[in-house]
Amino acid sequence: MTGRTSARRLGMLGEFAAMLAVVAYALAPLAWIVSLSLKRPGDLNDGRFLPQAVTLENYRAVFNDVQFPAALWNSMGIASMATVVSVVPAAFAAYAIVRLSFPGRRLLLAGALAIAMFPPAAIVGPLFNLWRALGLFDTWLGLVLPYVSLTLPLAIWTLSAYFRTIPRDLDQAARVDGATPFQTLRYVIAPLAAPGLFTAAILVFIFAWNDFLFATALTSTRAARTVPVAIAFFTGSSQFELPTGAIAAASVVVTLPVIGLVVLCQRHIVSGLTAGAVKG
Amino acid sequence: MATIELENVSKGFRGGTPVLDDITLTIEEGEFFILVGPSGCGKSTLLNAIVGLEQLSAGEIRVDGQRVDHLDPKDRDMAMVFQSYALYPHMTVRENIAFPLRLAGLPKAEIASRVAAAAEMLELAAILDQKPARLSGGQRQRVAMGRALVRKPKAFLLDEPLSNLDARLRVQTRSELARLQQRLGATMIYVTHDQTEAMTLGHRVAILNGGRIQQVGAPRELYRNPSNLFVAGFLGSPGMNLIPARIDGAGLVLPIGTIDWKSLPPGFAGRKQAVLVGIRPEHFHRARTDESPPHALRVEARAEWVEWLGAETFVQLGPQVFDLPAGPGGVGELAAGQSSTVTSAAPIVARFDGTEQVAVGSPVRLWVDAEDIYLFDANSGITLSPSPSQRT
Repeated sequence: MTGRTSARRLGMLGEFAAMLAVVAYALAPLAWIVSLSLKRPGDLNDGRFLPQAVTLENYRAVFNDVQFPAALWNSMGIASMATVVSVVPAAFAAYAIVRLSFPGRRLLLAGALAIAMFPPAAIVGPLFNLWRALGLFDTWLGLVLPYVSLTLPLAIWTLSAYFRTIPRDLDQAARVDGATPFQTLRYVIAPLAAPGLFTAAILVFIFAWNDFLFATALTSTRAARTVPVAIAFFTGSSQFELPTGAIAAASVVVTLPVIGLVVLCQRHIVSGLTAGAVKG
Repeated sequence: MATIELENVSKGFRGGTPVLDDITLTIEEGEFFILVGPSGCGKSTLLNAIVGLEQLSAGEIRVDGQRVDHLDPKDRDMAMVFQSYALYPHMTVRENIAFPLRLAGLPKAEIASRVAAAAEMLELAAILDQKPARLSGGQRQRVAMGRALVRKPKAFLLDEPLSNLDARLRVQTRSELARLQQRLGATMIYVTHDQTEAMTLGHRVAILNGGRIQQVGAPRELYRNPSNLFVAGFLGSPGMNLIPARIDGAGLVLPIGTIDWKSLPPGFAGRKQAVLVGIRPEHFHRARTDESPPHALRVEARAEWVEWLGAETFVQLGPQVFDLPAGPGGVGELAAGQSSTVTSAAPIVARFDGTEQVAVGSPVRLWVDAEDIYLFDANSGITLSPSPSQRT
């Protein structure tokens, strides 16, 4: 009896230790960056995990930088636009793929997947030339377009998997109740697929927010340069100084919106939303 | 409310047998019309075709003389109650019921008063602000009804609306539904596989099998005068007993006895053919003395099994009593092509009053009035005409 209880306790302890190890492994770099961002310039190489003295000097420097506030605004705008422009058509496409039978339906899904597998490095060069010719170079649209193209397949796949879980009777009931196909999607399917919509939105937003390749190749000024690129272009207060502290501070700042977004959306990502729809 | 006409309606999927095969029907205004048949007979497909969720391969559907088969479901002005109820889980009961009215663009005050009226009629007032997930099966069923009738549509289509309820609630809801239909004077088309629902609810019943209409008529008409073996076997529980027999010089010769010519209806004289004899369980009478009608089939049998249900007693007489042929041309082969409700091994069942006492294994003497004997063609299953008598 006691032997079994203690064995169980030991097992729980082991589980807890394993979880702790995984969390530490995942969060250690983040914690290190937070620590760096709070250190004084002279302490950067002191090898300590906790700063000797906490200073917000690095954050002040980041926001006083010419580039950074503009880059933050660009990142916000471009990632948000890409998210909306990708998820809304993806919802229409996924609904059609799941509910209508039309020739080439499988081909469409396979094609979408093929596009998602395209290596971005292969298209960034041609895009550079094309965008310059079209006047899209160094504009928001110039970044939104590739982000949408690359994330649309992912969003379609996520959403069609989600729409499939919604009973078809609900569509049919809405149609008989007098809804057009669009109204059916708007009032019945989309609200029920909200968790799927939020999942897709987060995926697209994070892709656009984190992208470095397109952002560095297709922008040149404050007009459209996003945060990841702006951080790379950081210069210290003198040319002999590496702006490690400022980079760390900027990294922390750009992580916050993503964490905020996920936390915000997590409330909506609750399962079992269709409970009570069809079973008696 | 409206009259619904179907003319030569067919539906087939590519490279398969037709799901609906040349169906012509008229459903009168204010009629409670039942589509009944075994699973896979096409009854739900027919309902979906009427409401517009399925396209026809051929034929016409008219509502009050206007063709509707090319219209979108939203333009047909019919309401449907789904077997699963299909309530919108993210909306409250009130929003569910109001949804069709909201789509129709009715003013808010009108919507509120109509929802209130429907809620009162279906006793939903107390749960108007709850979500479907918290409701019981019976409540969900009533919400689905409310969502259908709040629109005052031309017709109500119900797809097995009671099949998800438990037995007691089903009987109660069944009579509520009948009263509701009467009060509204609504045209209702009701799909079910349950013959009890069909018989108790329907003004008229259409029996479907294999995508074809077998017979249309009032429940009494279908039960008393089935047009073929399938209809005869489908209605009634337990089903009609089927015994192979032949007509020849001596009269109707059954494995269990012979009925002479004088007892048979006119028209059979001189014929020689193989037939199936159908006898409903309630038409077996127990012979206490030697008294029985002049034209009767008298049988001596052994009670193989007895089921006493209080009000009635079912006695299985066992197939061997009648020495049924198991080979080709027997009941089994015909039944397999006709129906799943008739099987070759089915024992002969007699239904007695509950007060009758029959011991298992004891001999039973029975008689059947010749008037109550049905004859079917052994090959086609069609009721032989002239039928034994036009029963009423």
